[in-house]
Amino acid sequence: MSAVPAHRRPFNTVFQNYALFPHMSVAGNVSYGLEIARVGGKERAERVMDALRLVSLGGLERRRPSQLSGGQQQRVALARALINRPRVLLLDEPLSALDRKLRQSTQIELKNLQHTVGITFLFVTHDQEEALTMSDRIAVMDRGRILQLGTPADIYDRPASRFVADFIGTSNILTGKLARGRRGNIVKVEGGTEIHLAEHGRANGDMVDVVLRPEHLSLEKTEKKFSGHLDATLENIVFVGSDLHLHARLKNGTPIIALHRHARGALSTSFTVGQAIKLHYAASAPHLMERAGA
Amino acid sequence: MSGPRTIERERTRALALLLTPITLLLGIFFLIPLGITIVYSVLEPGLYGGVVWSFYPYNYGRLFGWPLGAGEEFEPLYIQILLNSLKYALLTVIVSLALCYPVAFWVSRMSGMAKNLMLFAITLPFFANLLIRIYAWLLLMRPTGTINSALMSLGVLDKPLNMMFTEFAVIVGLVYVLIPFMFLPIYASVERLDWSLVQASQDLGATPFQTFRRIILPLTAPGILGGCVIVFIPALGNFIVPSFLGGSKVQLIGNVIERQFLQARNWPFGSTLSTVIMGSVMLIVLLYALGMRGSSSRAARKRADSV
Repeated sequence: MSAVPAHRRPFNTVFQNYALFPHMSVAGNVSYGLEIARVGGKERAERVMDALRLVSLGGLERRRPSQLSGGQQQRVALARALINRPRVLLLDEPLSALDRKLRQSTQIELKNLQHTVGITFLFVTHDQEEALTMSDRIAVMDRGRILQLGTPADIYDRPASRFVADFIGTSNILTGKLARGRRGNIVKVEGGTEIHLAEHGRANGDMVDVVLRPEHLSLEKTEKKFSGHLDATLENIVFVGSDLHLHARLKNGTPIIALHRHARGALSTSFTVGQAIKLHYAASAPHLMERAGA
Repeated sequence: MSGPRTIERERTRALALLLTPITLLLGIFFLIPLGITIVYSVLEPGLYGGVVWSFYPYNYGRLFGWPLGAGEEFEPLYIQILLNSLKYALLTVIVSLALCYPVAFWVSRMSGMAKNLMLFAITLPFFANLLIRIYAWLLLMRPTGTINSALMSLGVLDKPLNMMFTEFAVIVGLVYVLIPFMFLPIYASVERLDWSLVQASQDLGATPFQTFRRIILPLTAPGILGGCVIVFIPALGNFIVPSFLGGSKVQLIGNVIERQFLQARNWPFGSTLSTVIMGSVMLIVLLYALGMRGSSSRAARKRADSV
């Protein structure tokens, strides 16, 4: 496809800064692609109106881009890119210029729009949360190479490598050697910490990276069977509204983040910084990954 | 005590203070001479220069054929020279535009250091005296000059090309003198051009030519227009270049005016010619501005109607 000149490729782009033509009206911007494609007269007018209605900008067709808000400009860019009915729509960080609230509502709108028009959206973003929210499939890329391609759940629950795990969501990543412990499979992490695992298909003695998501660590022991815990020292308690983030440190100095869903502030006072805590996890929680760079 | 109104008043006073020098300067050195010129154009010429203070509209008769009286005769040559000067000014604008527009794109895509160097090079001629620079062209273009001897020693020519005192030499001179005034406004508008708009246009299927016509050209039009106007006006009134490089063959309106003041000592007729040039320049610029506004709003209407 890279051998085909840009103006003949069957896809269109929503640019990061929208790149709206400042000397044209909203309608002029949207109809540009049709004018170039020599779609004329009534059909052009109708398709422009349809596209503007699709992004709920009806009535603003005579405005200049400079007279629109950021969100409106973004929707003009969307209408302009969709008007030629491309096979693929490339969105290059289209929401990065919007504030958080607007971004979240636009994410939902975009998703609905995608279902309406039935065009493949290729959505480029640096916001991992946005990637999880928006996608049917995610490709995590680093330096131009795809590291993992999969559904959001795949990527989140079964990251292929340390980079992916670190990039998508908050992760506690520990490195250690697979071994056979007293109560089953374990990973021996430097500094004496042991992580208990369920069955895995790997050979003992292999070096692996282990991911433990913060929400899988809890202060109470919830499961009786196949579980383990980490001994850590509490260093910080961060209140984020729905949850408490507990920042702790293992004996070997590795920082650990755990998520604690609290009941109406009941627990926030019962912690003191510096206290020793036990972070429990189910044996199914740790996810093994190929050792980075091995 | 210092409410918003006081601040407002303070600001107005500061603005007035800042604008006073330029207002005085323009008033004294621009508006008053302009007024004098217009007034002199309807006064009687004095015998040895200067003016006689009596109403004398016949200077215009000499130029346009009406009103005539007091021994003034209609001389159609002046209109012809004026039209000829308009042609030269227009050619100067076209040639310098054709040279500057592509170069502006080239320079705007250079890296910082090279760009600054190029901009410096464009303004470099201003550091040398105008007469010296024109004499340099004389040395280059005369029959025994650099260009001819180079071409002859290369065997391209067997006898020198006659370049001096031709239309060609005058156009070269005018373009050379005025080209920075074309380049700088064009460069400013090209530099401001957002290249992601060009990408967007290509993304929507436009060929390079369509992108140029529909995106690049309209967005750089203000610079082009500005450059054209500020080259056209001095090109029309210039008398140094035609008198040095055009000799007696190329007479432009500037030369005629200069001679009215300094040789014929007919100040009123010189003023008449000046007033007519100023009037025609203002008329052309006005028509052009109206035309531009008309065409852009027509285009906007057309687009709006078609939607």
